[in-house]
Amino acid sequence: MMYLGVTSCSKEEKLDSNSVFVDPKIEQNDFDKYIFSNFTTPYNMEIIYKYVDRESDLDYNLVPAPFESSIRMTKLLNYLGLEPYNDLTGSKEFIRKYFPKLINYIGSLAIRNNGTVVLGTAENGTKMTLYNLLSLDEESGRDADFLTTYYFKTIHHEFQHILNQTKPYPSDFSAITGTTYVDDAWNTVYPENPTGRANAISAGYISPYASKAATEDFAELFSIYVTRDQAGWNSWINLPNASDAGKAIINKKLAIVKTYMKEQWNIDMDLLRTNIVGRMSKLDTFDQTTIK
Amino acid sequence: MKRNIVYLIFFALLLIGSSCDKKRDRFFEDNPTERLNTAVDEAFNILKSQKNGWTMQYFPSSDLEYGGYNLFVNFRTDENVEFQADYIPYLIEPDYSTQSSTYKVYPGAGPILTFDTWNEIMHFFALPGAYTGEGAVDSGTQGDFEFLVIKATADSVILQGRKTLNRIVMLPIKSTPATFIEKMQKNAAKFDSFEDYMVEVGGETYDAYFISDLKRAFVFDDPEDENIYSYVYTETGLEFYKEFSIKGVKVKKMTYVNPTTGYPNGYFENPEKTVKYIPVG
Repeated sequence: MMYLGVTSCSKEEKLDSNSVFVDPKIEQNDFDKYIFSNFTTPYNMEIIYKYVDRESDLDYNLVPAPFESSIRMTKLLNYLGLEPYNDLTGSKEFIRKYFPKLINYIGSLAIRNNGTVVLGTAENGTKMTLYNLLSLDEESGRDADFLTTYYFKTIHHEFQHILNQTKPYPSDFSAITGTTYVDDAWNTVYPENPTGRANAISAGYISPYASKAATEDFAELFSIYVTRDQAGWNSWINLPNASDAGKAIINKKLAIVKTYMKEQWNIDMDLLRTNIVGRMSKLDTFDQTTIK
Repeated sequence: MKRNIVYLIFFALLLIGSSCDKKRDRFFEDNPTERLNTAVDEAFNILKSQKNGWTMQYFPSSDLEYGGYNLFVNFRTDENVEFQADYIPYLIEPDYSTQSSTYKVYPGAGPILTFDTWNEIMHFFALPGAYTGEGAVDSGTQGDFEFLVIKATADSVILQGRKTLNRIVMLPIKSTPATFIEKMQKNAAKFDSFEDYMVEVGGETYDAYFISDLKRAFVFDDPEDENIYSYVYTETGLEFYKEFSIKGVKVKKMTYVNPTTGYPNGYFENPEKTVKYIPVG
């Protein structure tokens, strides 16, 4: 009797199969179509080039990316970020399976109140945010150093996180300088200036940020190595006042990263580097604007 | 035990009593979702309907210290929007050029109007200070580029900035846009060129101080008066963000009066002619 009293008023109502909110129907523009056929179809990837508040980091004051820069970034992402892996693995399957599914473009840098900046972030291997598209134009789009510093080192760095979260790297990597990682103090212990960077290398860290934690160290070694030729790598580590002992540690760590990439993913990092650097040398003739 | 039974029955009665709330009559005919979708469609159509475009009286920052700007907005297609303005952002080439980008109206707490790809005229005010040299290095002039559409009719559109909650008014451009916009730009350039302003009210004269070098917002050196008198230029003078009490006199709009012997740069005056805002030099 009590039971009946409690339940007697529930009516069955069917849920409406239509979404309650309807976005205005706007035809896909040529860029939308380009993204669909070159990213969504082959890689199941979405590129958000129009600012969406809920996809953006509300801790920062950000502005949308310029439409034209977004086209450049998208073509460059394919050219310098995805195709090298396709070439090395022989198909698009590797990128389709592991590369983040959501790429978010932002116009400005993410600037903290102390003036330091964020160049890129990745969340749980599913989403990557690229900042600073305001600086990407016809001139900077052909500048390999600029592209590496502001976008592609970050892209390869974040992608490496996803790879080693999928298949862990050997624990002896973390043990090499296991007691000297400095966590969030990395930019005060090793400031981003010639002395700070030389001190980082003397301590066995390829960059100040590598001293944060073993996972960052691993990703930094990978991304810095594959985005420059041997001469570029040499000048990166052979800083004045950087100790040979530190460089030896870095080379020991690098060997583990290379072995990991070869054994776990069948990717030869030297071939990957040659591929990426070869593409960079052709930036002058690479078409960054045609989307039809 | 008996007491427990009493409690149980009491509890059961409560449940029975409260379980059958009748459906209340609806205040509106349509359900909330349909009404929201209709509101989005309506706002979208109103924005596009003005072929001459709109004058957007835009105020960045909730504190209003950077003043107000006329942005001339034309929603050309379902996706593309053009901006001109009565100010020149620092990077823009050439001066007063038209800048194109995209926009969208989508459902949120109401219809949300967003300018979702970079437009230097619109997003200048949202950039961190590191880019513009205005405001704090990380937050800049703190302007909005996403707005809740409060009201949309052919006569006016009222927006509310999503971060600042500032009220932003858009009015249709009634005359030939090119002529109107050029006139507004020339006025603004002239009034912005003065570094010093004064206010005359109640037989007294007060110095008005700009807070930022963007101008268009002044304060008095008066610990009793913490108002930031923020204004936007109009076709005939200026209009304050809201009705302010300037030394006891309520003022919302002022008309510009051409130079006279006593006022070689002219002056702005309220309709009652009791307050003057005077460019000095």
